[in-house]
Amino acid sequence: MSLWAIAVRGLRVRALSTTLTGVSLAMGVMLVVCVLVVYGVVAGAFERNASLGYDVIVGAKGGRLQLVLNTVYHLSTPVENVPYSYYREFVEGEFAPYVVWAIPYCLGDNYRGNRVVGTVPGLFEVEYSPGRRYAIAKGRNMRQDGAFEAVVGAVAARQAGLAVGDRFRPTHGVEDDGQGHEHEEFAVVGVLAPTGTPNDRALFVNIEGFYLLDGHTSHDREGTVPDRHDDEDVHDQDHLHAENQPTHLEGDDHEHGGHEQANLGDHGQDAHANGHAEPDDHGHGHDHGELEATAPADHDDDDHDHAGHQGHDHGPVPVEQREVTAILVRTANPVASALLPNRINEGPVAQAVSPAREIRGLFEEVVGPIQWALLGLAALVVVVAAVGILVSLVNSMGARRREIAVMRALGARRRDVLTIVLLESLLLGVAGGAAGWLLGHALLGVVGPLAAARTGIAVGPLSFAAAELAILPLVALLATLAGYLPARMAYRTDVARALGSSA
Amino acid sequence: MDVVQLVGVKKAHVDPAGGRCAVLDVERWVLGAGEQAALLGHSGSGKTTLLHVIAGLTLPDEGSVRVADCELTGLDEPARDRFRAGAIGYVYQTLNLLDGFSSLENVLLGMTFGGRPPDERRARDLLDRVGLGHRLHHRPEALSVGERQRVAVARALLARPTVMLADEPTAHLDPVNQRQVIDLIRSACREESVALLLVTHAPDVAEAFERVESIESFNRAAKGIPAKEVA
Repeated sequence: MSLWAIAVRGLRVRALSTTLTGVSLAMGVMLVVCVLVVYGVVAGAFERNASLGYDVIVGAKGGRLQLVLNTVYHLSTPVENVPYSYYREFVEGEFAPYVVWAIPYCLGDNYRGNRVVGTVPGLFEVEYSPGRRYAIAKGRNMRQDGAFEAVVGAVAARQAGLAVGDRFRPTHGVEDDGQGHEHEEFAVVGVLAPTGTPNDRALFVNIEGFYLLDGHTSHDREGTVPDRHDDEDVHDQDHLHAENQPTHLEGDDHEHGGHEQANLGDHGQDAHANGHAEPDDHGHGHDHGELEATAPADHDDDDHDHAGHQGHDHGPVPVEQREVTAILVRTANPVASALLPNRINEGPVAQAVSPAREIRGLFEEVVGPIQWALLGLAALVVVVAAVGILVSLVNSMGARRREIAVMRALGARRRDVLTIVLLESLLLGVAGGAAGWLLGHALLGVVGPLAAARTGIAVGPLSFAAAELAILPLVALLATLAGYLPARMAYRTDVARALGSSA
Repeated sequence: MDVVQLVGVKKAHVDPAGGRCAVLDVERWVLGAGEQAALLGHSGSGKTTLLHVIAGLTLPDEGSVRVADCELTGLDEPARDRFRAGAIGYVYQTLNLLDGFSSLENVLLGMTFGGRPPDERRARDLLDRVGLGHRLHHRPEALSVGERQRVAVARALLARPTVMLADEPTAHLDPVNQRQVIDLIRSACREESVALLLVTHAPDVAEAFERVESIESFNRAAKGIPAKEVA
């Protein structure tokens, strides 16, 4: 019979104490595993999300981190808006030479808690991170002229139960608090394949439709009656900077005056060719008010796929009434990447931030320390559990003195009994550590989907962190150290006294 | 040929007041090969200390202790432990067995620390010979006190020792079991040609032995000293 077998029997004899001590250790290790894995996954997600297909985010002056959080992560509240004309500067104005592409983001609505983003179809034709492009898993991309079309992220589609052909009404506000009013319907024309980014949780609607919703233009908020621009104005706003625009964004099926357009939002081309609109009566229980008062009167819906919004006479919103919350910018080269933010920041209108820098800063200054603190607490739990091993073994020593003496009388050397007690401690540590490791991953399997749904960060039972490899050796070492004091007690057992010497 | 030989052995304990209290003072005492002796003495007369000295569990302050031609006082503790594992079988009053181990495993423990591979067949044979062949896998709590002592006897014999030391092995047994255990120990030692030294305070236990001695007869530290004055 080996010393290992004797140690195992020793633990089994004290089954209750062994179990309780092992469970407390397992709980500690479980916490450490969870923190490590989540830390690794979050760090990986931050790193991955810091590696975006765009390198500059432009938005209203204010919180830099807030701009990144609500643009990249769909968290926090949106910052103020910048005029649409400012966005046009990236397409064909003073910033255009620095830019490969620029995508507008309009934020401020949600659907069942998932953020709604007003944007252009071109978003899904550029890389969302280096070398990775969006894929439409089902359906198609929204069309330029499909003002009320939407493409939905994979998680958002699942959570909201949306599929191609379904319709949904965004709610004003970024939180599903029941306070915001419902907007008009958008039709889901496509569902994105999972990207592993927060965009999986977002619903992307055509920016043209977004502007047509109540409260989404500057005039809506100011309470003034907007003037609709003529066709020329609106067409101009939709020109992308042709030289810098990727081929897939350039041109479409619509020819306008012999030039190609990057067709980011040409809803109602025919309509606004016909001048201003009359107020419509679409019966949605939702009054477009002033906006619709300026819509083209003889808008021909037959020429447009309004994706479930037939019967409305919306014309495009004039450029001066338009605003964007953020502009995603892919700069042309490293020099442009360095110069463009400076030029923007020197101006009074907007700020340019590097999402990668902000994300890394956030991670290093906020998220990282919090997770280290959690890890420290979890490690403390493990240390307390290790002290539990020590207490358990020390308490058992009184009852085991006779047992140790019997073994010594049978020829066991002091180092044999010392080894047996250390092995007991080691086994307890390894068993508790292994159980804790399994429990940790089981817990991740349980809470992972919840966390993924809430944060977009995918974590599951099979998520692993490299640091986990160190857990068992460290726990084994800690347990062995904890077992040293009782082992020394066993080592120093006075055999003659323990055997009940009557001398 | 003597298998145990004590010459000029002295051993004293330190009392709580810091004074030294003599426990053993033996000029010469021997036990022959295969011999069986019963040692009588009242509580505190040094019987158990004598066994511990012979087993190498404790060293005398003075004198020579030779067991199976090995001078124990010349060995360091690990060497004495290893020697004890191979040459000496030990049976105590009670609590001989380790909880959590079956009868068979408790017997096999008798060879675990001796550096030799455990002989399970012999362990089974010995348990069979002590009448426990049908209780190989019972744990101590499932055995009677008499049965536990039989397991202890089998364990003490497993490593084919030269000497068996039995310290009040029948102290907690009824008269019938006392007789059975004593007969078992004696017959087993005889069959295995193992010398036996049994200490007891009960004359009726000792009467079965050919050689019966009072410890006071050769331990000067115990002569005329009331038990309570001996540590």
